[in-house]
Amino acid sequence: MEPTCSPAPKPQAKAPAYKLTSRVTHPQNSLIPLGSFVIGGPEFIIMAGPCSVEADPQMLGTAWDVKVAGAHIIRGGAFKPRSSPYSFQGLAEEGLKKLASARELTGLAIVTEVMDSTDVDLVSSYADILQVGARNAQNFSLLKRLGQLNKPILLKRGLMNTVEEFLCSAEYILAGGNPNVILCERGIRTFETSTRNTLDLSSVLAIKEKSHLPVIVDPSHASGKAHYVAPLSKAALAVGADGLMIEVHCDPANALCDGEESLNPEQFKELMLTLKDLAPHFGRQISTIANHNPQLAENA
Amino acid sequence: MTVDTDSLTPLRQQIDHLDERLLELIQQRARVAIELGKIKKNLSLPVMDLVRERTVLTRLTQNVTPGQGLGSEAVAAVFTEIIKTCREAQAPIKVAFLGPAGTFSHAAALQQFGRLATFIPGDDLTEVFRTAESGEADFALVPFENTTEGIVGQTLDLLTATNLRVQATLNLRVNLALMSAHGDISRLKVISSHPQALAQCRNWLALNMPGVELRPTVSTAAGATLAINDDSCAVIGHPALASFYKLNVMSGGIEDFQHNQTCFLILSRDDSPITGHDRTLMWFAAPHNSGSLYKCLQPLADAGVNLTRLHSRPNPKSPWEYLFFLELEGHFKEEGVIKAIKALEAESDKLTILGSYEPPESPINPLNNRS
Repeated sequence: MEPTCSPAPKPQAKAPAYKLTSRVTHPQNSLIPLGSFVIGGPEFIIMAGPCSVEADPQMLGTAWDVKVAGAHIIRGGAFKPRSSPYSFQGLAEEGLKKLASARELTGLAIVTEVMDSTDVDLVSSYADILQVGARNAQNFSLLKRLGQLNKPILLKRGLMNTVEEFLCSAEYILAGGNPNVILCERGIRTFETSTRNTLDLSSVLAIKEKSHLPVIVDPSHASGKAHYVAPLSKAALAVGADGLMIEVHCDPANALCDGEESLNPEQFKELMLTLKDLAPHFGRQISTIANHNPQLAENA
Repeated sequence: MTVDTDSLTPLRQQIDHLDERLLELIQQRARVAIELGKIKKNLSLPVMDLVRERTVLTRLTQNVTPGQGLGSEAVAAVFTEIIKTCREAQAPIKVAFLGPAGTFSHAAALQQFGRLATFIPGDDLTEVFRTAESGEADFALVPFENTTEGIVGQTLDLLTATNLRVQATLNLRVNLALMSAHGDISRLKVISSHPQALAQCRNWLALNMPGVELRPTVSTAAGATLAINDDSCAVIGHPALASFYKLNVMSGGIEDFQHNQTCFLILSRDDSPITGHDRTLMWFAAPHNSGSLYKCLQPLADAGVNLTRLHSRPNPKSPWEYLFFLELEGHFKEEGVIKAIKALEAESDKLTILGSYEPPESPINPLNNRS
């Protein structure tokens, strides 16, 4: 006898690991609008700010310096995934409020990390972009939850993830119905110890080949050294990344988290001017620093 | 069925007697207020003392026992009218606001100053400021911030070029009502108002008034004029306008979003006294280099003075430079605050204190305070 109900569909012999993320299904680059900017287009998007949100005036002071230097988006961690439970864990909602006041001051969008599915509603009530950290890159219940949102998600590459696994993580968010995913290369774990992680710049090329999603690079976490940040940033622009995420602290020596990899505002301003000059050579632009800005005249 | 009206008579007599006593007491209060007004005039003090008026009201409502007669809100409403009316007997208050009649600024002014004040509508904010600066009006009431639209940039610009002082702030919920001359909802064919007000009630109108024509007008006031003259027409606006235009409220609270509110500043030529829970608004320019804002804010953190607001605004006189509007906890005449402001001033290019005031009960967009 034939069974009356239809049988469950057999898994395909070789199901593709990711579909919606693939360039096959979406040949054009994805463009993610955010306020007056578009991520993934000609504008080279800079996200900058302190590693973690601290007490005033650190957040407001740094946010202002970063805006004046030409950043598009302000970053800052309120929930911090630290290797040690004894390290500073972040200010939680208090920190989110400080980020919101930085947005109020600067008019720039804010990106901040969400570590747990239970915090998604809270974080998305403050943030313009929600970040998934490297340590959560394969937290699939979190990724599924973020798939239900409409807000852009900044997905960092896991420390031990191949490019294919990285794209599979993005697929979870897209499959849930949220197409607004920005990928972020932030270095992977290798046998090399001279930098904190090994920044895999060639992954930008591999991702661009396989996927339509925008990719940015985080040279701060990858290198762990402030003086590596500017050269790696220039390399990321050259290799075709859509933007950067850079740590800036108004007083790096006294930062509560990752001070050794943070640029001070003066160094950041200098880097921004260099990137603005270089961008047109790679088909990019940075429109947040106008040509008649007196800063340019000073540095010319 | 016959109604036994005899049982009402003794109670009605009691009411009449109590009313006579109330009238006598109110007249007595007015005479004292007029006397007070003369002394204030001799000492060149302003007629309206917002802090004193609030203290009077708080003292009375605190003494209300729940379940005995009126509740504290009702008592506050009755005494607000008494206070405003007696104040008017001292000297009429003149208030400049952003016109025409029927705007939210007008509703806010009515709420703050009462119907007996003289209201001077201005065509634009510049004119509202000027009317109070020249002494033609005692107060200027200007919109400062809205929950959805954000800070009012033009108000900030005008604050940098005025000698007026912020005396008080007022939060007004964007509360909309459907009003008409007769108050009969079944006779309505047209609802008119400013397009923004119509848009803010879109869901309510679709649900409750299907088929009724929505007619956009240049202002709420124009809509109200239509409603006065046409029985089949109603207007949407702030319910405070019902009494101003002699309209009847048919339905209140019809706005789709209940959390939208606007904060207004009340400006005058005088400073308000220390109440113990004040905030101070100021603006300053910071040097154009990295870390300058950080250096300006650090002294406040060192002094333990809480920052409650910080906005930036491009300097109209100098491209690529910004002015900062900062609000902190405390009165600018308090010692700790004076010290902190001095230290901030030393780091800034230019600093002007705009005044101290009591914050509204539920501030719209407070920066998070350090705990």
